[in-house]
Amino acid sequence: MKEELKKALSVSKGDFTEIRLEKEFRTNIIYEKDNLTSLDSSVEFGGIVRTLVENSWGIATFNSVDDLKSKVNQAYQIGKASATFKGEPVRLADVNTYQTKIYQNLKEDFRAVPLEKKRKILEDYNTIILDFDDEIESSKVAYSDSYRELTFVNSEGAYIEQEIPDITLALVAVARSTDSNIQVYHDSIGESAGFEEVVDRQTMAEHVAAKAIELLNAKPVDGGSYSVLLNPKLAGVFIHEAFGHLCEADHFYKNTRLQEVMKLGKKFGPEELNVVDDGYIEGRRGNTKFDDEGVPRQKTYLIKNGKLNSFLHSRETAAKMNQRPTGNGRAVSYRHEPIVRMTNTYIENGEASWEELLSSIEKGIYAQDAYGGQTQLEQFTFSAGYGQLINDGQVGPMVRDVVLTGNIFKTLNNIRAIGNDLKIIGSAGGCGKGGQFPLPVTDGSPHIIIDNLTVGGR
Amino acid sequence: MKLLERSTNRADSAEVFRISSKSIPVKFTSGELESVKSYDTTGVALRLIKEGKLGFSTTTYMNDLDEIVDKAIEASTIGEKVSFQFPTPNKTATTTTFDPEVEKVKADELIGLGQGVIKDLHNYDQALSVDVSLKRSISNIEIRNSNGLHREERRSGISISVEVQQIDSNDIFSLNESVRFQTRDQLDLSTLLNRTKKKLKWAREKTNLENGNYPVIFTPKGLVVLLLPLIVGFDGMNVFQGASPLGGKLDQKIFAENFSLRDGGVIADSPSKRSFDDEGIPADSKQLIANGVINTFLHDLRSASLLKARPTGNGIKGGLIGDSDFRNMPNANPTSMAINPGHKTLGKIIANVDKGLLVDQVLGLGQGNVLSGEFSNNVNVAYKIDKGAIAGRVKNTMIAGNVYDLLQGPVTLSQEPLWVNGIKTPAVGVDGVSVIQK
Repeated sequence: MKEELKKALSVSKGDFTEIRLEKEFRTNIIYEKDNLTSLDSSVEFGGIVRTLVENSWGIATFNSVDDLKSKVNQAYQIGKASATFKGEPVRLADVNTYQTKIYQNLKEDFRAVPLEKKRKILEDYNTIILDFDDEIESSKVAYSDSYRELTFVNSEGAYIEQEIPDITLALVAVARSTDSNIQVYHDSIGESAGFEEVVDRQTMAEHVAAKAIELLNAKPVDGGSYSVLLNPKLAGVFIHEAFGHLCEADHFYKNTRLQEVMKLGKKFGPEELNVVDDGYIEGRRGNTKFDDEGVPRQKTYLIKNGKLNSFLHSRETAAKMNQRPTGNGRAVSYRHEPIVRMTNTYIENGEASWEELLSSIEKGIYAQDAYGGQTQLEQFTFSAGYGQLINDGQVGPMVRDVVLTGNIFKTLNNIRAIGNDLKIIGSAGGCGKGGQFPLPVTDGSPHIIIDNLTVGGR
Repeated sequence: MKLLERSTNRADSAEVFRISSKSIPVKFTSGELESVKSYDTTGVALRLIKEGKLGFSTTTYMNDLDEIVDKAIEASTIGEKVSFQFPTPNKTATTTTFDPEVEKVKADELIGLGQGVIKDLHNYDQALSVDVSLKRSISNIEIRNSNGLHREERRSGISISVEVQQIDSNDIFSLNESVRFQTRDQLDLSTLLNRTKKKLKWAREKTNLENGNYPVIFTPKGLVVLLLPLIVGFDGMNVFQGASPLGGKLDQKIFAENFSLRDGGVIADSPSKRSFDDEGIPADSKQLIANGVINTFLHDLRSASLLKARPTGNGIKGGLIGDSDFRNMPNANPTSMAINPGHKTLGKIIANVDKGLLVDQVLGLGQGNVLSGEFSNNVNVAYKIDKGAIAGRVKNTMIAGNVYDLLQGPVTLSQEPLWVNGIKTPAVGVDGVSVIQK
């Protein structure tokens, strides 16, 4: 294939051309209550050509690789046709070119695990949830694995073969009381690892069932402003939404007004706050040893000592802003071009112990686990799986429907304390941006306290 | 079709779903052309039933179709025992889903449209940052099964979405609007642009609303806050599993008298029409809620067989109101939906509100206990209504409530329905939504 790719590149009339091919092996299995509602084992093949023609990108995606040269030409024609409309020139930041192959050595390669074994393990978790209590009404247990083989080549001489394994397990319990109160609880894991990650998760199944039952008796949270103690999972989602997205340079590389808001060195949080995006942490879903532009991973401090320290870049945004590429040009699949994305994003450890954190809160909420979050860049929300009221440093009764909202110009500055128990957590699902979903990422944080956080509620 | 024969030879029955689509996405960022793309997809999904058990596999690799049969057969050995059969041929009128004029739309015309949008919005306010995404798509869908069903349809579409951003120091306001057309003669951007400018005008002033319970009017776009839990609640599979609060409430009146909701791929003037669902069942129009009474749930073959109901033409291989993705198995999902409008203009409804909110866009949609009907969202585009008039934009504000409580009534419906994301709906006013600002 290497020779064919080189030949295809050689016919390109563009100023710069790259080709990315992908072969994906994947399995999806879903149980919903007593039904095996999805069981899919498939192979997919496709590719994308991106070429720069007189300052304009032409892009072609395809499934058949029989005639790569014609795809290269197609991308060129599209770029050529749009070049007349183009404004400012596109430049790409200079990078070293690599010729390398990155193979994976999984402990238990899920491609070799029989379907029946995968199904059986799910059935077991499903049974644990359904049999947990009479008030468990329904369940959903979802497994996915994916093994992507990527080949990247560009006209500057890069040639990178990469294997990317990904495995997820999501468990959902639905509890229903006699008065038709329906409560849901879920938990999930997601790693760039082998089948061993999803075995022996019986406790996780028991945990989601128990929490769903507990939620039946929880009161909805009263809306208002609280001191909120976030557990590592929720704090990870918080930093992803609250700050990670804002650091993606494609939001503002052409937007001078937003650049004024996002000035390097501007203080966003307390001195103790350090936020990192790291393209490689052993076993993590967000890993991108080389991004989809062939740029090697990097550890980037987004916030250092409370101040905006660096952005996340693709080659194009880096060139435009006269900065260095950070290896964050990622594409969710061969159907898309790379855009600026996070990888593994987390808040570094502070100094406070768990006891110190808890005892410092007179009245507040201990918000735990996460449904997800969303940002509009200034305002953002993130949803907890559940919360517990805190009174005089003591954790009290459970509350439900805990959805928090913050504002980029205030909320990070309201981080009052940072714990010393950093956890980086991989979960199922992923991040969505610009129509590309779900991109595997991980988030993490120690426990943190944020004051004056608005919580929605009735 | 050889694949169907090959599969039928090795199984009791089989179904082949084939899609080939060509689309042209065009993207503008901050007022500048960013990229133009040619997006080709060919995919096949195979479902088969062997010894009563279902197997499924998909591929994009057309050179070796034996592999997909092998994989589907392997899956069936441990697959679910199903009680449905693939449908036999049905005679239903087809609707017009394809316009050859749309196929003629090329990249340069899309680029021109995008430039027009940017120019118009910059004429309104030069300082706006404008992103525009345009896409022309043509897809051909073919379904064949071993019970003799063969349906095939071309579908065309042009979709355009605009995101504008207004930035002052320490204030970022963004607003998006989108529109979709199935035929060339529907193509008209003036309403999209007027809507955008009206909402920008409303946002000129910033204001506050004290914590409390208020009447809230959802614009057609904002109404998705209330519709998402309903869509999940009407999903036949959720009903069967006891996870929907609507289960057991067929023929009961649980919504306001004036609240009626229809679903169907053939609803007149829908910009995403289809004659049949992804299992080949006619996507006929049916009333889900008629004058507050639950009339039917959404069914695919599986949920219909489990609940001993008739399939409703809602076996869709995609997400909520999404395009069909051959990679998915069909699930009970809406096609196009429509809510009956009322008899008052939005202006008149606003004029009757002393203090409340007009909600257009929220953050965190679906990130909560959707099944129970609870919602709690930051309203990132919402306007305070004060003494019957729009008083300005609110920020950092949360709304919360329960859809099933709120839609019991009273519900106020405007007379101006609009197609948004495959749903035709008027603005909808409800009373007693909790608003928290701090």
